[in-house]
Amino acid sequence: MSQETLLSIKDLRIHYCLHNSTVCAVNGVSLEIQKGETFGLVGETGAGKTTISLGILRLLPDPPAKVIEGSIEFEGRDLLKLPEAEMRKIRGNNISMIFQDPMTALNPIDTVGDQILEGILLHEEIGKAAAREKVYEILELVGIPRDRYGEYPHQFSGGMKQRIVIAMAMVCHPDLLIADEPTTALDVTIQAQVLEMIDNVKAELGSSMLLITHDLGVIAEMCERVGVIYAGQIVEIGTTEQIFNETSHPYTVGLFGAIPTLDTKVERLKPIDGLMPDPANLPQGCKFSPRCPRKLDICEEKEPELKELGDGHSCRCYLPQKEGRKTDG
Amino acid sequence: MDTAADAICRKRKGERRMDNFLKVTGLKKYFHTPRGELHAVDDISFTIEKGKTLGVVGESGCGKSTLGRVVLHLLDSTDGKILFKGKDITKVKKRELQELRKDMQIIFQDPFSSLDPRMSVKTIIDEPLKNVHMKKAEREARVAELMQTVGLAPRLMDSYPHELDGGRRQRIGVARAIALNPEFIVCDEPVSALDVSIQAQIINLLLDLQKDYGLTYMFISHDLSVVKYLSHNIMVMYLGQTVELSEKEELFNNPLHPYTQALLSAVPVPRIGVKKKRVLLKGEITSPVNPKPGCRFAPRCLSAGEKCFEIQPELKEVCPGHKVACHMIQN
Amino acid sequence: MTGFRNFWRRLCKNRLTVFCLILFAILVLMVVFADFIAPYGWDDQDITRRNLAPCAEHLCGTDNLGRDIFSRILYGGRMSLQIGIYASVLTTVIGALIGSVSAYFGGKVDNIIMRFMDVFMAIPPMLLAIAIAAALGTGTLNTMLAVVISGIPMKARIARGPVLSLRSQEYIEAARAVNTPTFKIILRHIIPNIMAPLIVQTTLSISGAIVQVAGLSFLGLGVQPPNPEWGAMLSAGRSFLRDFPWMVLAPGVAMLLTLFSLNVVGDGVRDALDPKLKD
Repeated sequence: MSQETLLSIKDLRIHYCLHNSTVCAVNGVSLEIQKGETFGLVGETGAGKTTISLGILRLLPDPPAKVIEGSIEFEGRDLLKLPEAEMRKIRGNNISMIFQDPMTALNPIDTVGDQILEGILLHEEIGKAAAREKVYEILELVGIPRDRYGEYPHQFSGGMKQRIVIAMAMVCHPDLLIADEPTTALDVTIQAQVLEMIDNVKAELGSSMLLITHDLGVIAEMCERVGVIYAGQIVEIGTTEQIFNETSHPYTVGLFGAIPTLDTKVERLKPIDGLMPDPANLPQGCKFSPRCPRKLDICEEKEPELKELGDGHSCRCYLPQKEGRKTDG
Repeated sequence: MDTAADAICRKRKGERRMDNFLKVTGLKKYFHTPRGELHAVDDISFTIEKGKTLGVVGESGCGKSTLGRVVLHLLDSTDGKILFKGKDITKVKKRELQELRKDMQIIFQDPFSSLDPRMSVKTIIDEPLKNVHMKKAEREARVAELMQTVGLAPRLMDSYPHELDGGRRQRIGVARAIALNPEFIVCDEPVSALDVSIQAQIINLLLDLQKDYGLTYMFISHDLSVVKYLSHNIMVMYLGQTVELSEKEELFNNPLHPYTQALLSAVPVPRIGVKKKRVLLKGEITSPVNPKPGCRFAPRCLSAGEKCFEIQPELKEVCPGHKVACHMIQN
Repeated sequence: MTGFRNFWRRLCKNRLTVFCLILFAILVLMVVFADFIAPYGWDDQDITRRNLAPCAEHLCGTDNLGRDIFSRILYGGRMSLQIGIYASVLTTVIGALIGSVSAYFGGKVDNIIMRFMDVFMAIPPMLLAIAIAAALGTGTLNTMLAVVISGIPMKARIARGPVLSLRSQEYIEAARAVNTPTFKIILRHIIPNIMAPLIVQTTLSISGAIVQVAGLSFLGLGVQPPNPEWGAMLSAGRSFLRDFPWMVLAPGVAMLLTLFSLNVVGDGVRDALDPKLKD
């Protein structure tokens, strides 16, 4: 199975330089996304997921955000080194983004059709009539009747608005779609519909996706490979099966233990003690060590490297576990 | 040394188990809007036994938050009866209501907007105590006790909400709610705004408090997994009405209403290899303003029949302890 | 509280604001220490030395009654600034209370109160102040009353906006749930949370109040001669504008500097307190 690498992030470090502190948001992240693959980035608030996604598209405000080191290779070019004019050709065209809140992502005074049209006209040299046809096509693909082209965002529900946002992102057939918590703000039945639709559109257009979420259920359904991010670092990375059935990093194990699920009976939830460290004041050594139930002395002194456990499954831990998912009736 | 808490605990455990601790009958709450009457809560009836938790689930627009506030009389009801420990609180006078408020409290969803940003932790927890004219020394002791009960370090007493994370802020909300030793607490999505690892901490806290103080909860949430974990009975709401009401295990093993089935099937499960049979719904949620006759779910239901669009289904008991409002099931 | 330090840092980011802050501070100090700085009393007349152009002994010259203009400006500044600041603070406090109560209760109460305010606002503030001054009579206290009464409706309206949005905050609901009485909710929850816009309003309206007082005095309704007050001095100097312009220029420039620095500082305070403006 020959898979080509579409996006390759190596040793990315991004800091926010404020007047009296430095927030170390991303601390040495490396990951690869193959063509046609859905890669899930799972982590909690403050882990650095959104910074990474904005960093890929060079949408971070500079100042105060600064890329300290690292490279983001896309189709052979380092995005961090491209001139802004080149980046503009890529944004919305080769790499698109879907944001979390569909309410604020749409312009309230423009029709939805025109908002999608804008994207095409910016990136492709075709006439308005041809562009409109493309808009109708993508509207149908996301499940919105074409005769709603001329309606305004407020006339749509939350789920429909998110579909429009997705249409805007997909209209130029991007190679990579970055979805930052695309369904968190939606009801669960709508979420199911939207996720299914994203999957279909993605398959139809052959795009890859970087799916950022905190919901392990969504990851299980949508992703082929997963990276678990904590305090700006990848602590575990592998295929979805490996992460779910051979969980090895104590943080990932802790996450699974902390969520109630529909189909298992848990006597008591096991929350992870403590809080994520302040990114302006990260601990020495392993960033998870203050909360880790299995910490050793070395964990507090020296930061562990991302070590390969086998078959593309890596873990950043001196004492990785092998925790399977308990199944019960 | 016997704390106030211990005394309450003993008293509660000694009390007879009260059936119909909270009994709601035909509760309605309509809002006047320029476009017509918004039926936020439409003819809801349920009972909660003392010491148990009723989970109320539904998606946005189903009226669950409004229901919580009406039950506490934070909003006036349009019609219906709420019998709290035998007394109809929809008809009480202001003075009596203030007394009752000591027994019924609420924990809010948003740990950001439910705390006054200008007040310190101590002042926030102190407020309910001040309102009952407790003496200063007593108040100080009680605040310290409460902070310990909810797991807040004493050094945080003079901190402000914006200096703390969501989990700690929510603990402040819990401390405020239990300050006057209420018997009944409405939990309005108390963990929805929190991170996964913090959610578990607060959920465990709520369970411990229920066990230690004999609290009765009405737990409102859209997150079915959390509701399943915490509740004894579950009520599923859609557009202001109850579509299904049942004991927890029975509901998850045997969901009868098409909406409940769709809801359960839509929840993504964090497990590989579980092929879920999705029950997909047609279309979008209809408007709660001037609702048409018939079942409110009918426009989206794949099994809807003619009767469903004409006559409102009643909530009927189809198995012991399991009620459903659906024409198609009640045959 | 670190809140104040943060505020101060943000305030001082803008050089113009810092400059005007210093300027205003100097003006205030000069006016406060008028007793020590003024070379003459504000009422010392020397008819033999009247209408003198600015010179070494009289920095701003003398007026038609032989009084040293510079000294009168210093003492006059006291009047203008005092009335201006007191009037502004009073207007904000009373206006904010009315606006808060109106917005918190909403419904009919809100309607009645705001329509009442609207009636007052329909009359141009200057005219209203004139009418009140004419009714109450002249003099410092009455002038201040006139300025305050004409300014209340606007403040009530300004306070109403933030309170309307605050009303739906969950912590207000929480306060009701724990049985906090309404007046306590307004005093302990609502007012402290609208302090920021209120402070800004107060700062910005001081200059407006000074202008109003000056205007009233100019028209002969406010502070009466021989009391020095910038507006009164402007009025008195009107007739001598062609031959002895410094009688008008001096108080005019004094007012200009004060109002300019106050307005810039007021803007700076507003920006520094605005949580949405990025650091």
